[in-house]
Amino acid sequence: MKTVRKNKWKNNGGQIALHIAFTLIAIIYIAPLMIVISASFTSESVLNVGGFGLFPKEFTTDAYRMIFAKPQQIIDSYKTTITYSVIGTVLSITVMGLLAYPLARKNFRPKGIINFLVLFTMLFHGGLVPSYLVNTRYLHLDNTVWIYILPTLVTAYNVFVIKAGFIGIPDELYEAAKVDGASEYFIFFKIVVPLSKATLATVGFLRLVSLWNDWMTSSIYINKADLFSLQYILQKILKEAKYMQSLVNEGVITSTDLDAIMPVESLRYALAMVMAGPMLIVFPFFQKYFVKGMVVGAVKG
Amino acid sequence: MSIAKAKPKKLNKVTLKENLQLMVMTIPGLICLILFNYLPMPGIVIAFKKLNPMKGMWESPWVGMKNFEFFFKSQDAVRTIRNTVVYSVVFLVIALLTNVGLALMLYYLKNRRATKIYNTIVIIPKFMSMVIVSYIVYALLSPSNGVLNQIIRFWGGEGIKWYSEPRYWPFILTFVYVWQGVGMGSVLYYSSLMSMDESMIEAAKIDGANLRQQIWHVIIPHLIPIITITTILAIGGLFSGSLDLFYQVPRDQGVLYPTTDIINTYVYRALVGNSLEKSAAVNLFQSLIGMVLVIVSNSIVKKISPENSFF
Repeated sequence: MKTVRKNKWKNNGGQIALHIAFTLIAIIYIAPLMIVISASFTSESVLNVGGFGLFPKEFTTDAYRMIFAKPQQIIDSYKTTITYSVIGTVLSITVMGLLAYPLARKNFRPKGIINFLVLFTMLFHGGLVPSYLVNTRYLHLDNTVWIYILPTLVTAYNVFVIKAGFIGIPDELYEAAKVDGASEYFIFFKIVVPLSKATLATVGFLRLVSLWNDWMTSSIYINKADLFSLQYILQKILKEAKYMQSLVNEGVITSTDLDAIMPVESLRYALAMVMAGPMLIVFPFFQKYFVKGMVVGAVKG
Repeated sequence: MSIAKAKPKKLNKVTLKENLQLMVMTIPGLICLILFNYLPMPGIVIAFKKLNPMKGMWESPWVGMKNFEFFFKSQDAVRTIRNTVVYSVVFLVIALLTNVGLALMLYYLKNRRATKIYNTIVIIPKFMSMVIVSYIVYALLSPSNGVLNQIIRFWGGEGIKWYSEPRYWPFILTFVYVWQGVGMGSVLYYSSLMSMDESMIEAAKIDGANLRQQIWHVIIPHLIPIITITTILAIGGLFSGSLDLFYQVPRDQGVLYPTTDIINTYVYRALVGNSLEKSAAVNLFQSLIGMVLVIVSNSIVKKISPENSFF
């Protein structure tokens, strides 16, 4: 009796220790987010003197008001980013699904060669510069929204992950559908896709995230301001503020003068909030899918 | 009888039609691969040329291996190659330890709801862009008003100029990498543990195994196959690093290059800085080494566990 109670206590002790450990971990994750949120609501002078903190030492919405007072660039970038992210994700999943499906079918004759064509792109790539020259000189995709969508539409790794998901579907289903006279298109859209929701949702969500977070494409291919992606704007602001900072350091303008012009630091963090927020709100809805789908993809690779 | 006989015949007959339908389905994907993966491949000749904008890629004069020599004779070569490989190896080992560690902690936590909440919290950063992460890091490390220097000053120390001291960056970058990746990285191990036969643990407990013995003799052996496969597959990526992490988080500060510059950032900077030939040469070198590594890692995986290999 005594030992049982002791064990129970010991077990609880373990659980409590785990909860404490997880609480500490959670703080490491949440505190930085709070600092960023707080910075966006702190007035510039307080931020410069007192520095960043968990809570705004002097609450103000100046930075947000400034963003929404002259929002044209942000609205443009939002439009661009939403357009290419949504179209890119839907197109990407459709095209890769269509490519992966025949590769998962046993009786598809040219499977070997097509499989190799996909695989080889995983082994060797021309690199940034050759792609840059093809995209700009031959395909003329620069300064269009398609440059965000097309070059990364099909990637070998994702095709193989989707294919691994499809292979799990039993052959009897195909046979049964064929007996009923279904075409391959019908089988794909009405049977295979609904059965592979978890895998497709996972790959789709990861595509959405990487499209949304893309800063590099704008930096290489875009010089029309209304086609800049949100992340690129964010990065640009960081660089322009850097330039301002260097002016401050050189003593050309004092930091109070700068304050009168614009709240650089808090504005930057407010922009970060406005631009990153939506993704963080969307993602929990996908979580149950992607955990399932990622495991399928990784284990069956 | 006759119906059963007729069935396979009918199926055989439509095979050609099916194959055509399946072929049509692959066309959009194949066009994408040809335009964006195969068409650029001949462009690697730029690595052996001096680009003349008037003449274009094909008419520009050949310079042999000059672009490569330029890179390998500079100090950049040693620095970027060393940084790329060392960071990859360190990240690989640390990610393995932290991912398995977190999965174990989640596994031993009894309260399911708490498990879910903790899990969600640690996955969140995976969906933030590196630009946002670099903002967060800056809020912590800013020399004048960053949180870390505030704490150091509070305890009477002197603030550190983080963005001009290369020696701190290996730790900062590793921390950011783990912070962002561990949530997603542990998912695979955690779900493998959840699918494990729980009676094994129970049996070990009855035999008087303590926690350390349970982990060492039951859980780790269960995870070994997945650990092996992920590790070997990761070898394929040893010669490449994340441009996002190494370019955005140190804010492209030249002073920090000794510990933050990797091949990917070098190639990107050369492209943006308009030295296309230099960028192409280094990128081609990286691409070739990467190809060898992928082939090697894949052939090892194929020997151990054929169903996990790509080819």
